Amino acid sequence: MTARKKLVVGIAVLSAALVVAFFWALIAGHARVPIGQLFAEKYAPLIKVRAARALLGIIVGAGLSIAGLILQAVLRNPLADPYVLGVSSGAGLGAALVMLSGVAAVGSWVVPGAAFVGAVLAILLVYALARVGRAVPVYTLLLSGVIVNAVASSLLIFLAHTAIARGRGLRSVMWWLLGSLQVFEAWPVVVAGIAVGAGIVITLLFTRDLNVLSIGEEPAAHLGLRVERTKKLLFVIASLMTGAAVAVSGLIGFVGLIVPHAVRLIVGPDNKVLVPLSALAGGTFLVIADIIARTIRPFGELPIGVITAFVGGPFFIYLLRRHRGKLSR
Amino acid sequence: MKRWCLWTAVVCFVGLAMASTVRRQVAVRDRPLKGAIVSLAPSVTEILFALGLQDRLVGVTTICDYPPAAKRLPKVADFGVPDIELLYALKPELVIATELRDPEAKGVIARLGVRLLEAKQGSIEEVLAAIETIGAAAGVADAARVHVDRIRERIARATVDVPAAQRPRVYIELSSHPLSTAGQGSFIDDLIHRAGGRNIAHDAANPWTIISPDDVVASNPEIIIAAHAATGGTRYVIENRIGWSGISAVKAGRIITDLNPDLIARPGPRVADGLEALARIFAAYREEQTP
Repeated sequence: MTARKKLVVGIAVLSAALVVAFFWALIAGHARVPIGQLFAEKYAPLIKVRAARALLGIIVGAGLSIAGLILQAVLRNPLADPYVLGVSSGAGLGAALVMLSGVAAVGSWVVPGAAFVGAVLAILLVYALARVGRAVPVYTLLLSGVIVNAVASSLLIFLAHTAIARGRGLRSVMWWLLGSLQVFEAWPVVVAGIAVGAGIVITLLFTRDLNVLSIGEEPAAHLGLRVERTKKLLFVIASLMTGAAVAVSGLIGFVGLIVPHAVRLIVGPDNKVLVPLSALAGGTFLVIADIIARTIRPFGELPIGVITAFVGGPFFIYLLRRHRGKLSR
Repeated sequence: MKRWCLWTAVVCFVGLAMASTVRRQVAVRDRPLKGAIVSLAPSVTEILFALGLQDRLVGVTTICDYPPAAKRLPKVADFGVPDIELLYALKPELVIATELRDPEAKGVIARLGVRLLEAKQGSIEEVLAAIETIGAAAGVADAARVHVDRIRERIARATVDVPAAQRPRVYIELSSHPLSTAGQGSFIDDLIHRAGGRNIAHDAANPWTIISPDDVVASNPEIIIAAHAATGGTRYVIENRIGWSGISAVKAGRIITDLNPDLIARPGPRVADGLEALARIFAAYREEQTP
């Protein structure tokens, strides 16, 4: 199958899946909404709640998948995900700080704002640590990501323990760290939608460069790619998309790792096909995961991160075994 | 340059260890302090104050905040988790908890020769029983009985018998992140029922439970009580949540945000205050409904 044909068929199939998942999300829940009465006034409030969640799921799922895809390509590491470069722990630290200090009560924008600022600061720190002259080698980048993640987590645990002492906010932090698509206002959907939408459009313009970069930096340079500049730009896009997604939904794990891999297993490594299809698949995956998170218990809901990890963990092991040869080399 | 950084880091590390050691140290006693009591729960602290035992209270938890005088007492524990070294140093005669969260602590406390009293307080009856047990253990059994009788009388007066049809559906929000409420077997569920309401989360299996916004909208509560106004549960926030404008309570403006959460969430001697407050809210609702 040619790349073009793959793209057309893939988009048709995955768009259909996304639409089905979206409508399924509107119907599913502890309170049943009959399909025929989807637009009845009686159910309007419920449909609004569910539609907002599903939309956020599509945005966050697509954003995290594309961010993961970019990082896997640029870092040339199959285990890379949107959180390897410290975004998650930076955002987590920012969110935990405002939740545990009580500042979060000021307004609904405080936690997302603090998480986003934390994410950006963490990325800047990782970047500064990794820089060697004007270049940013992949190895030092990964290592500084690991270190910043470790130090930020230790600070987070310190904060959490002082919070046990004050008896507040710890549940909020735990909840946030596992991620959730609970959304109460329109603005998080709009803001994240714009950030992720713009990120995906820009990524689509760089699919050729992504293809070239995944061969290796040296060959890419020989092919005339301005490697460092392209890398920087792609890092910025991946980080901003991740930051926006994490700010509105917390740390939903595994999506950004498994979705690009799963799509790659089916359609092959061409980023021209991978980028649009991963965005669609990521959105669909997260909407379905959220349906499970909302309905698996007879009452209440689970953090969606529990579901994505449950599905993603085994898949991760599968990938690890599949890539074993490559990793040990 | 690099060497300087390293040395500074080492000095900071050791300095931090020294500073926190000095600040936390307390002299060790060799035998129990006669009559001294340590409380491991805010509700226990409230009970001790209510029984006039505050002078014997030598240590409380980090979250004990009522009455205000409790905040000035030495903090020797997190909720249900005593700092064993501080207990060793203080050697009170009696340690009172609702439940020990740290099972190992029990053995350690016993070895210290300190008496441990666990007084479970999951329902109104258990609270009243706890007050009597604590009173008896501290040697003020008569005062405790009088106190309990007084609370029991107020509870009986505030408890109403209303047919199910007239009971408003009530959603009590304890936190907005995650959205949580009180389910079956909780102190709050008990209070709502006695005061004449119907808890929308009565079917939830856990006393403290996460609730989906979906479930709140679907169960269409007639009264919303946001018991976390201080942490962002304001009327404006609740009214403007996506899809919530269709909820009866929001349409009718029955969102209560000025109820002190400790009155209903903390199973202490102020239980009658909490019950009376809820009963007033529900009575006002019934009055509104009768034409």
